[in-house]
Amino acid sequence: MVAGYLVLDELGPGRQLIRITTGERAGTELVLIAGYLPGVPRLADLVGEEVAPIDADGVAERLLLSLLDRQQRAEWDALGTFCVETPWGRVRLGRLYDIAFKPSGGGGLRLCVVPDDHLSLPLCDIWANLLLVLRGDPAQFFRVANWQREGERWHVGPVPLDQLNRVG
Amino acid sequence: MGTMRILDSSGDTAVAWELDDLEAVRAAEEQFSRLVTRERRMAFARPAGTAAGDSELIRAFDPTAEEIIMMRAIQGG
Repeated sequence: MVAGYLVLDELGPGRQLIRITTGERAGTELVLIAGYLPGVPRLADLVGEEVAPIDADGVAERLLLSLLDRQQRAEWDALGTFCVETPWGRVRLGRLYDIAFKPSGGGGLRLCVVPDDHLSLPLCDIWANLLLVLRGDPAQFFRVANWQREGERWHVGPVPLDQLNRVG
Repeated sequence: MGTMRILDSSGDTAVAWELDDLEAVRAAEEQFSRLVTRERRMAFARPAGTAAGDSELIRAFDPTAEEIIMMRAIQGG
């Protein structure tokens, strides 16, 4: 049995603040020191089993990949971005704070939308989060999105969808 | 078996239940309600492993769902 832990902070050379995430000691936070120090218990001794760090980025990427369809996955593999179709146009996810939006009526905008406390999430979780919102509640996505036309200043959401998709 | 995946700094944390384990179902439902009401999380149910196009936004805990993914609320960045 291998217990998991999460690195919360790098405290300096050979020292990490970690949180044990599985087993009876789950939730315990402690400082992990590289190497062996006489008199200091090993983490495995504290937990009672062998331990290994959690690959948060790997976990998040596996979730994201499972949510992508074949076309999106090919785009992700080739470009590191992927498109999501919405009732108002196409959104391209994959660049933080710089989401491209091509309205059905033409033109283009840059959008900025993030999950709450997004800096605490692995990057792929951010894209999984936004992908699902775009699928399940796209109006909410555009309601909160800050937006910018090329060469103009940023505007606070909502995105003016009716105006953008009005055929002139 | 149903699984609820809660996005967090470790990627996600999984909460699992069997339909005939009423205590586990109740615990998962309580956690679902807490996440939706206190943290404004959005919940999506999907048959396990299927693409986002097959997911469904849900407002109430569904113990028969194969997988529920608890997303965070979103905001302009």
